[in-house]
Amino acid sequence: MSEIKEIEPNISWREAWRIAGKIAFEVQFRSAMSMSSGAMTQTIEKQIQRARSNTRFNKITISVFIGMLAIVFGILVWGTLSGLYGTPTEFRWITVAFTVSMFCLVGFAFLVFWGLMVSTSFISTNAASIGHYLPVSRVDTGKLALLAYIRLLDSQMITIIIGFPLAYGIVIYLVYGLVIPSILGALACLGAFLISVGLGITIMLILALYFYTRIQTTGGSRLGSIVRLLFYVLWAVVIMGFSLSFQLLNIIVPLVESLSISLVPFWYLLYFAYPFTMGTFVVLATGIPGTPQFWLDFIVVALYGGLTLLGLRWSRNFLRQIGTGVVTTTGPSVIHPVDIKVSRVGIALLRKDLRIATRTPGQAIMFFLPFLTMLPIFLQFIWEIGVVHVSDVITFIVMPTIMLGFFSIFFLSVEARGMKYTLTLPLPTERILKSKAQLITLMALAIPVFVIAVSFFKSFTNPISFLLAASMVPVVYVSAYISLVLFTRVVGGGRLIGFEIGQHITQMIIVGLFSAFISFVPIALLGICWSWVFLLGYPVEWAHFAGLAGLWAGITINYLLGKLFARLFIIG
Amino acid sequence: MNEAMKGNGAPIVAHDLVRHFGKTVAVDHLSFEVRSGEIYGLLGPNGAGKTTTVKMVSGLLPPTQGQVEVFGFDPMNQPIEVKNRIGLVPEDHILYESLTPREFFNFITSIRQLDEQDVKTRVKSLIDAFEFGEYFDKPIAALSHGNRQKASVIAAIIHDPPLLVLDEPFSGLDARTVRVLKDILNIHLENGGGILFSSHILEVAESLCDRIGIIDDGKMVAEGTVDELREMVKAHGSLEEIFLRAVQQDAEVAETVQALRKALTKNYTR
Repeated sequence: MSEIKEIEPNISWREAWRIAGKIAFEVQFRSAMSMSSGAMTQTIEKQIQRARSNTRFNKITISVFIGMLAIVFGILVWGTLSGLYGTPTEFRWITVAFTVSMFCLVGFAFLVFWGLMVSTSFISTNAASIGHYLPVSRVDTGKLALLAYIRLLDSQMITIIIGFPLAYGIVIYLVYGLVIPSILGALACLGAFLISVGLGITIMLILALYFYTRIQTTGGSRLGSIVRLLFYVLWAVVIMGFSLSFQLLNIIVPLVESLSISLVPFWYLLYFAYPFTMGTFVVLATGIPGTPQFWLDFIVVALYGGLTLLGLRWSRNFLRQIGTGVVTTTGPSVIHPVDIKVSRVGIALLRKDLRIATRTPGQAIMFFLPFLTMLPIFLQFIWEIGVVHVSDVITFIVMPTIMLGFFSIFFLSVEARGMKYTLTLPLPTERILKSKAQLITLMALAIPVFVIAVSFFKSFTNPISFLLAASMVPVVYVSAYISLVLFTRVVGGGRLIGFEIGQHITQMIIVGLFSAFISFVPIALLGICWSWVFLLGYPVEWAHFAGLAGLWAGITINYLLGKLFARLFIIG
Repeated sequence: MNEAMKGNGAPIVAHDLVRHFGKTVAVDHLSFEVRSGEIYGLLGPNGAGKTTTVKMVSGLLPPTQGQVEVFGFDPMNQPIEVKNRIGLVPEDHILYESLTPREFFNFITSIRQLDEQDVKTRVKSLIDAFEFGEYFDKPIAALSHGNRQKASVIAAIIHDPPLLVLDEPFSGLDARTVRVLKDILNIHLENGGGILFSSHILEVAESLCDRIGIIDDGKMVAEGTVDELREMVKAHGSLEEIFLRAVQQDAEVAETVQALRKALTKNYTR
């Protein structure tokens, strides 16, 4: 048998870029299809069109978000250098170096954690290996895979690489009116962010491979569950960090300043470590008199540059391997004895939903929604409020309660295509809806937990606060249940239907707003009963108990309303 | 067979079923019956309406017109009674992709509230028969087509249902598993169960089915045993010949093949 002749590479970069766009879209489409519910209500043509517009929308949104971060970065640098924040002159450049360092880290983390889902899809969908089945050379197949991957994340990478250096250069020019330092500073900043993005791509691919191999394609071991949980906690912390950075700017500015000043004695050590190397390098390259002279930094940056190139070379080879279909994506096989455990229906449903959701990064983020809503308020409590009054607790718990009710419909998307299988099981629709409401109720437990956490830092005026916080759990349950029933009626005509964000956004908003109103009924009754008793001249403790009674009356009304809606609207 | 699980009627009685998708008529006044102890084959070309019929029988799709009864229960109005009595192998075998078969079987046995000891024995014997043990803790997403089909088949028979509704059940299965599955179906029939078997693989249908209904464009074009069908359409030979004659494609297929022969003939050795 004669040897197979290697095909010569013959696809130009321009043509490869065009084809890579199609592969990138295929990855996004397959990923979206794997998340869509089995009960499809749209034609495939419409789904393709929707996936296309979603992709465009996501790219624009992410670019705007990073652009806003770049503006925040610019404001921080400008505020520091112009003396707006009152930073002592001798510490201004060190604060700028610290700010640049932090935003390099932000760019790195943003790319890694935001792009992780895309990278995992890139591996799991196998769309990039299309060239492997066609008479295309191995070099061209690798080229297509590499470019397809870049096209998936192009907007994020371009905005990070361009946005921050541009903001830095403009700020230096605005403050000093000097062209050369602003250009040099911007170029150094470009280098720093290029290194951050390069390192980010490498780490992201390593994590994606690990995530796919160990979590998605290897069974449900306890160790796997722990790794998964830790991974999501880390992921949520980073995502929350971005959200918080906007909400807590007034806290971040003095924090950055005090941290950078306190780090001055250690700066000679820190500039060996990423991301601080990047900050000092940018400040040094700007060349304004008075900037610190850490000349060794050039060598350290060159070392990081070399490391980045090595990482990118590995990434390129890895992506080529994906393209040529030689990447092993299955973990080690361990055979355990066959055993079956029959549990209660409710437990089985909850367990199944939790397992499915935590194994899909796009769905796992749903579990952090309450924390995203609660953490800023929690931090404000810690930093700004002295003694906690009952009214403070009410303001703290109202927003997450309403938000959780509003987001309950998201949980219909947990099963994704598995919804088609759920429909074959002898399960009443109402039972399935109840299990989704129970799932969100589990998350509502975070509300009393947060209030208890606050109590470790602050003293409370009244223990009824804890009772109020605990009472929010059933408020969330009933409003989530009503939302789910209404959504099933509005979209599925009373039969179970999966939620798909691109398809049902209008219905979600309408039902969500109604849900927010429903959640507010018990809270409004709490306020009315409290005020009524208080205005009648009774002691404030009595007013608290009256408020609590009003709250529970509201919960009961909502519960009965949910039962009525279910009886009227749900089929099957 | 668990007698308590049965209703009063025959496994399936479909009468005058119609299903529209917009202006398309997928199923057009279809009537048939599946009796206890028989395999009824629903055959037809691609897009004939087989899967739509299976979905209506299983309570997954409401008919636009007509009625179905499964053991005397209406699948749309009494879905729980029907789903308790059906073991369904859907054509697209969409399962919970991120669960392992262990987690998946734990889930469905819990939903069906089966006796743990009975189901343990049953699952163990099925896993052994299908040589599925090494895939028991791998996520379904990572399984091959054939292994997913095995998981789908085990899930369909795990609760010992009196009626099996099988849409292309042998798709992707190796010869050994096909043999095992055929034996499982025979045991099911010996126990008095009924089977609705939808396929376009005629050889399998010919060897398995007691009666066959051939549908085309959603309409029943011929129904009976293989011998009755042969008589009915005046065709000789295999079920393939009968099928093509029934859907009036025999002459057209002969012409198409003739045209293809002209287009495709070449000498690879030259």
